[in-house]
Amino acid sequence: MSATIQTLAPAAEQPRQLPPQMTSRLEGELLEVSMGPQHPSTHGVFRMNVALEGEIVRRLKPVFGYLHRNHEKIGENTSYLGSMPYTDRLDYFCSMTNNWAYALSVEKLAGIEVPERAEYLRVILAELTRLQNHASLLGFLLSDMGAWGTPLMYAFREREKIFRVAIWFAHDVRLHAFRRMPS
Amino acid sequence: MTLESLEQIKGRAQAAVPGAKIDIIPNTGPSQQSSLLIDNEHALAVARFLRIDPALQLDFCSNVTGVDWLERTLKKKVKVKKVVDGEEREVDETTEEKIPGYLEAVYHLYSMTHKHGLVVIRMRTADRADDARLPSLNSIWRSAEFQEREIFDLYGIRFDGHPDLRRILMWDEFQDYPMRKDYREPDDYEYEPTPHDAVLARAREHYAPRPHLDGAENITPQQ
Amino acid sequence: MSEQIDEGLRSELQRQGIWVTSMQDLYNWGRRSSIWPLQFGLACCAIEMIATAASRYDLARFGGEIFRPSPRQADLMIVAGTVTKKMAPQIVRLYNQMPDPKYVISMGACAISGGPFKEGYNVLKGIDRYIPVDVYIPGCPPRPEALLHAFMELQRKIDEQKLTGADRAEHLNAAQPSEFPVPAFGAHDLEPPANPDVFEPPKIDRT
Ligand code: SF4
Repeated sequence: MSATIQTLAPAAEQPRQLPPQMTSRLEGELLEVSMGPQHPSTHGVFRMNVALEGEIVRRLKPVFGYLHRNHEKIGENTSYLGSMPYTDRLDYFCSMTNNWAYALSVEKLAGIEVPERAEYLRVILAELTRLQNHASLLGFLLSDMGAWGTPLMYAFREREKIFRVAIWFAHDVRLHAFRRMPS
Repeated sequence: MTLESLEQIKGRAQAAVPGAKIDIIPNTGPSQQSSLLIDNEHALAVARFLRIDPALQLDFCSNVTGVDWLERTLKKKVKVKKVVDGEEREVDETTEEKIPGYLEAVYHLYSMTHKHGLVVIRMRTADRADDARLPSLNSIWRSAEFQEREIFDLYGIRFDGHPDLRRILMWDEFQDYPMRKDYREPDDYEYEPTPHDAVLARAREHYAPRPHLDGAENITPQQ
Repeated sequence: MSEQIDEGLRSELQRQGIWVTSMQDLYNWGRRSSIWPLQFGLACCAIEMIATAASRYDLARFGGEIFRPSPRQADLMIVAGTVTKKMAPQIVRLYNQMPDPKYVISMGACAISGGPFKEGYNVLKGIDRYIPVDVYIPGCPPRPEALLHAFMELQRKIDEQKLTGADRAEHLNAAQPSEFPVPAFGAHDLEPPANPDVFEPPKIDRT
């Protein structure tokens, strides 16, 4: 672990006058804190090496790769359809929009035209995904702003309702449209 | 403002950057996405031209990715005139051309100002060695910083002039370049009880020898 | 239910207004009814975990509503999502920081075996390579009902734990390790690729 913590570059900027409530014993000194990858306030696994001066974040180095699932490498060995379920899992709040984007690029690559009915279905599913995505966003955002719990409960209640509608179009849609891996 | 054709861009870039060598790599598939191959020496100057030229203003680099090209042989049929049985005839002859392997970095460029795009540019390394080098375009498009780091991490292209070239997705102690075609992942897989295809081939390597039966599973039953 | 008390006598007494129980029942009832999970999500399965904890599925009905941000206060780790090799050492570290008794639910195909990403170079092929797992839930992602089922299975397991005797619960056995070595980042893979004390690869029988 210690080897992966990068030392942040020395300060080059001018010292700034801090407001009185923010001065502390640490003033002028930088405290390096590794925040994450498991931290209740990070959504997902993400680490930040932050240099703090009292309460102020002076510098920040993001460290990612904790959810690097090598989609690309797996895609080398699967068929075009076989890659489809992986696109669900790229962004699991927006899975069907990701499916659509991937389908569009494959269609462009192969010169395929989709029937009109499919276009309608895609738009409907993408809109439903968007609705549930925004519902969750509001819930999480308010949670992060201090309204712990309650907004999230409302958001997830609406989300479940949207899933019940989505099931009419694609069987068993919750997070992912695909639960099986076609190969 | 509509985007000029690649030929026009190429001509103007070569006029603006004397000595620059730009090739158009055609794409004959349905997507018709041809790209510009720019030489490493003048890459920065050409990229700067693409960015600041008033008619182009490609100010948004949306995606940078790498490609690994293994060594390959290109077979071509050529019509050759030959003297056969005293008379001159046209004969088909296949020539084989060996293309050495190289790595490529591909940049996808758009213009936010003029709302046009996509222009694809690529750069090629000389070979697939561990310290294959390319100039970094990070000074032209800031958004290339993390993506060039990713290419360094996964393909092992070193970008000259990159401010902070470290591994980004894998841990720092990692030594391989996993997106290269010849990468072999560590063999730490439990094989399924009923493997098939590629998994079967790998599972076979782990089977304990069975001298009394060996070879039996390869015999196909007689019709 | 405890074997020491005669069931007939017990219900007879209960009718008289006297409640008889054993220390073990009381202890297990208490622990089973307030399993606090660690607030810890890795990938897509974590969203289903949140959905289980939120309205409609409501994990609180089973006593598991308080997701603790700190491993020091948690009883249960729900490994929800893909465990990458880069993340695996931190998970083992989090597990080591949890106080005994502690339980692990391996949620989803990824946490069990690597799932859809099993062939990848950066995906750990199952968290049970480094830490012991109590309940596995298949699915990609498992539906919230499946997580509730796993939770009830865990409660059943806790209910059956003994306080004394040779077959007492693991955390009461001083010889059982409660911390496991944290894998190190190696040049090509994690080192070691699996903890041989915890994990034994399945044997392929080819007769
Ligand atoms: S099992 Fe499926 S849903 Fe769960 S983390 Fe893995 S890919 Fe995502």
